[in-house]
Amino acid sequence: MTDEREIHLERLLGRRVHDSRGRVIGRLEEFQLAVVNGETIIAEFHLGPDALWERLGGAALHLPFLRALPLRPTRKRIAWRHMDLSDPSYLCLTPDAADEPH
Amino acid sequence: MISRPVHLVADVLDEQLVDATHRNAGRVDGVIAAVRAGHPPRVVAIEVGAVTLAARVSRHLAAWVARVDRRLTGRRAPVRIPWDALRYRDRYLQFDADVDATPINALEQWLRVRVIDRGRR
Amino acid sequence: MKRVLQIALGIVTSVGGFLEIGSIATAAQAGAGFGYRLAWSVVVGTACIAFLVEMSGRFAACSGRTIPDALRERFGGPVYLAIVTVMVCVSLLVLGAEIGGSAAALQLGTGIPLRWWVAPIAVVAWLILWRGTFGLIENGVSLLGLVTVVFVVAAISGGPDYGALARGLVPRLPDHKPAHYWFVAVSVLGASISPYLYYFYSSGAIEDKWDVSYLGVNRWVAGIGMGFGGFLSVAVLVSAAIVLKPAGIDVQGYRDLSRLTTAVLGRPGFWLFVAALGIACLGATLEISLALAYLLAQGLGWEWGEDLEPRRSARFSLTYTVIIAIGAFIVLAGADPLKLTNISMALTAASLPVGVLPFLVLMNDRKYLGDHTNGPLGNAVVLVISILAMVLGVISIPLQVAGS
Repeated sequence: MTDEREIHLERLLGRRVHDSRGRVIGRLEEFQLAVVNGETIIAEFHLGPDALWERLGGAALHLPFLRALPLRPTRKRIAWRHMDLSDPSYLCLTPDAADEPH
Repeated sequence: MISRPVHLVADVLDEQLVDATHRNAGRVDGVIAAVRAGHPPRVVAIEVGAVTLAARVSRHLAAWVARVDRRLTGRRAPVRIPWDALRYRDRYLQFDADVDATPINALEQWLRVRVIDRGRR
Repeated sequence: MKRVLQIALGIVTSVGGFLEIGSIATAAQAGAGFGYRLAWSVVVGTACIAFLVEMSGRFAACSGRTIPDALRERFGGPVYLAIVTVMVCVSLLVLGAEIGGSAAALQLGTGIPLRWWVAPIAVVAWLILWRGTFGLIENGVSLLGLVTVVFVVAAISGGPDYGALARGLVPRLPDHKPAHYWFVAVSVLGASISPYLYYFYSSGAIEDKWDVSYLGVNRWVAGIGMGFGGFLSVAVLVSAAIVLKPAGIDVQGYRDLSRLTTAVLGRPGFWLFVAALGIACLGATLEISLALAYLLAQGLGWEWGEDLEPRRSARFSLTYTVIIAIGAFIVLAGADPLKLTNISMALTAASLPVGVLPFLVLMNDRKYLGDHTNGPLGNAVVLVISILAMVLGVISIPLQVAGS
C-alpha cells in the first residue's frame, strides 16, 4: 500500500522555506519539472527572496531603465530530495540538505 | 503527454487551456502532485475552475465561490484533467476531449440552456 | 490600397470614438474654470493614451494575445484578480457616468427627466452588443461619433485667443483655486487615459486578426486617430474658455455644457450637441462594457468574442449584460451623473499605475514582442505620466472632496 498524498503546488508558491535551523532561506517561486521513466516529476524547487516580487517587481527589472540598477535577487535551487513536503504550511529542508544550497 | 522539461509556473500554471476542437476551456488554475516518501513528487493532474483560483487568494473566498458554484452547476469538486492527457499545441495546453463533455463548461452550459435559450423562447 | 483604407477607417473611428462624457465634461470644466490654462493637461493625456493604444495594438499584433490574456499568464491568478478588481470598480463608475451622459442628452432633447431614459439606453446598448458584431460597434457607432466635430466648428467660430491657447499648452501653476485646478487636471488626465480603451483596442486587434504586418496601420491609427481625438477635447476646452469663463459659468449641469455649441451656432448647435453627447456616451458605454467583459473572459479562459453568437460565449455575453445593468443601476440609485463623471475620472487617474505598470512590463518582454519591445521614449512617457497622475490624484481628490 503506497503512502501517497496529494498536494496543490500552486498553493505552495510564495511560501517561506526554512533550513534545518528554522531560518528562512527564501520563498518558493518555481518548480523545475523533468520526465523520468515516463513520469513527470518535480526535479527542483527554485527559491527567491520573494515569489511575488519575482512576478511583479522582478519582472519590472526587465524594464530598460531599471536593468542598470544592481538589483539582482539571488535564487536558490533545491533538489527534490532536500525539500520536506510533509507539512505544506511549513516548508523546510530535510536534515541532510546543506545549509547553503546552490 | 507533455514530454519535455518545463517550469511549472512559467510554462503551465495560468496558461490557457483548449479542448480537442481548439475551443477555450478555462485556464490552469492549479496543479496537483502526488508526494511519497523517498520518491520525487509526481505531477498527476491540473485543476480548472474558479474555486481553485479563489483558493490561491483565500480559503474563505474559495468556500464562498464553491457554494455558489455548487448551487449553479451541481459541481461538488473542482475539475481535474490528468497530466498525461495534456500536450502543448502552439502556445496553449490542449487536452483530448470536447470541453462540453466535461464539467469544465457546466456553468457555460447552464447559462446557455437556462438563461439564453429560455430567453429566446 | 487596402491598408490605406484601413488606416483611414481606423483614424476616423478613433476620432469618432474619442470623446465621451468624461473628456467633454472635464475639458469644459477646465475651460470654464481656468480658461486656456489647462490645455496642457489635454495634450499630456492625449499623448499618453496615444502611446498606450499604439502599444496595445502592437502587443496584440506581435504576440497574438490580448492584454488580459498576457496579464494572467505573466503575473498569475491572484495578481490578475487584484488588477481586475480595481479596474472593474473604477470602470463601473465611469460606465454609470456614460449611461448618465446618454440619458442626459435625451433629457435635453425631449425634456423628459434623465432617470426615465436610463433603462432604454441600457437596453439599446445591450441589444447592440447582443445582436451586433465587432465591426458594427467599432465602425458604425464610431462613424456616427464624428458628429463630435461640432465642437471644433464651435471653437473656431467663437474666435479663440490663439496666443493664450499656445501659452496654455505649457504646464504651469494655477493662479487661483489650486486644489480645484489640480483636481480638474487629474480629471482631464483620467478622462484621456482610460485603461478600458487599451483593453478594448488589444481585444479588437485580435478580433480583427491583426499580425505583425499591421504594425504600420496600428502606428498611424493610434497616433493620428488619438491625436485628432485630443484635438476635439482641446476644442471643447477652448469653447468653454470662450463661452463659459467670461460669463462666470461653472459647469453644474448638462445644460451648461450645451452652451458650448449653442452660444456660437444657435439652435442647430444645440441639436448637434445633443446628438454628439448621446452618441459619444453610447459609444463609450459599448466600449467599457465590452472591455470589462474581455478583461474577465480572457483572464479566466472563457470563450469570448463579439463576433461569436451569445449562446456560444454565454459567460462572456452575460458578463457584459450584468455590467450594463450595474452601470444603469448606479445612475438609477441617484448618483448625479456629472459628479459621478468627475470623481470617476479622478479615480481612474489615481489608479492608473495598477493597470499601466504591469502593461509596461509586458511591453518590454521579448517573449511576447520579440524585436518589437518598447523604446525608451514610450516607456518614459507612459511611466512618468501615469505616476504623475496617481500622485496628483491621491493629493487632489481628498482636497476636492473636503473643499466641496
